[in-house]
Amino acid sequence: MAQDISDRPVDLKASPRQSSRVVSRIVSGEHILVPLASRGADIDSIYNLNSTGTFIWEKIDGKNTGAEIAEMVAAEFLVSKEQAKVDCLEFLSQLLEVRAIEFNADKGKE
Amino acid sequence: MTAPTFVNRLKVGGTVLVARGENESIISWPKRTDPFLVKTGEDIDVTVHRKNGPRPGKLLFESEGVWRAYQQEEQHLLLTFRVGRTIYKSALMDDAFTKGDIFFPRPSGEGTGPRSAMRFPLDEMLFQQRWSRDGLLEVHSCGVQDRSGVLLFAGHSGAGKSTTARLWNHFEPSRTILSDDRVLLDPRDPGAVRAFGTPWHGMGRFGSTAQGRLSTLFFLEQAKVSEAVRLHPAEAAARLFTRTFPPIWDRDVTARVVNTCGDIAERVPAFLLRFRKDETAIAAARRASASAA
Repeated sequence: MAQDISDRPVDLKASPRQSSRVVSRIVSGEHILVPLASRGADIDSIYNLNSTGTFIWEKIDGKNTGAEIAEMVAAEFLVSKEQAKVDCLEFLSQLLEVRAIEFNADKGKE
Repeated sequence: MTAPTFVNRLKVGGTVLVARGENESIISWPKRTDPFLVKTGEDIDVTVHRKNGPRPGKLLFESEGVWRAYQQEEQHLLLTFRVGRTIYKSALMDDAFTKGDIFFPRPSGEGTGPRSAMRFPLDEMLFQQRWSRDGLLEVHSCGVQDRSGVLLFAGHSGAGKSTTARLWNHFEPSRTILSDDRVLLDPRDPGAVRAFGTPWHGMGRFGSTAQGRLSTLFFLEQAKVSEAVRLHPAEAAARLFTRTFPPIWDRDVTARVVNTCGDIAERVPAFLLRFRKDETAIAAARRASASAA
């Protein structure tokens, strides 16, 4: 059953881009993300992405909308488009929360 | 201002920090660093001045401890060290950390501050900053030179680094402990990642100038039963990164450190080492290292 995704802060019509405040590197097929920090307490924040996360991260280029990325996920991982949207919203919301991605003020494509 | 006439050199790995000052004591290191003192070399060249440093510029990083980093003019970086609100020492360094000035004013009033400007954490931070830029990695870890090469046991404070060093020292006294708190890794040789001891020891007070080929990475976790679990290189790289000392405010240098962690994790097998505080920890580490060879 599809989950209610209407209250998520991420708009799938918008085009996220990778934040310049994050350093990423692919290690044996999986990405690690390291947020830059200006205080000692924030240093230990580092994120490992699984294969799906790595796939989505690589599609975040400031051009692809969230919806387009979800369609790519559906095609790549053979899941329903609805499920891919839910997964993308969840993941993009997490990335936004840790400031690993940003959105343009115009919210991307109409 | 008196011209600096005294010189002292500290060598860790292949890197030499040369300190210049108006007298011997102001540039001295503790007795335990004697094996690391050398007569030549100048990769990082600093001069100590008995006066206040420049006014801090833009705050880049607040350690929430004694030090802060500031961006200064002409791409210089200022590190300040405080007691309370008083800056008792600061270091103005060029962008590459090759040359700089240490400002170490005399204590005001009746105060008696440290006699040497080069004491921890400044000396170690100068090396860390330079190494980060050069693609080397100082890791919060214990290093042991075993038969197969250097075994690195990485962990945060309290993870068991000094305990691990004591276990090896007790059960395998012929093995050299590189350090029980800080080990330098140099991956620049494509043939092998080199591991070096450092003078900055932990509770066990193990620090050696010994070096060797890095054989296996372990991340420590205390447990009731000793066992090693293989880690994916990405997981190992992330764990390694959080046990290093990068200038996390600097995107370019942090990217270099992340790359170094990734390179090492892709070249050297890594394990989570759950260990009991007895000889089974040594056996588990050796089994894991042999299985990955």
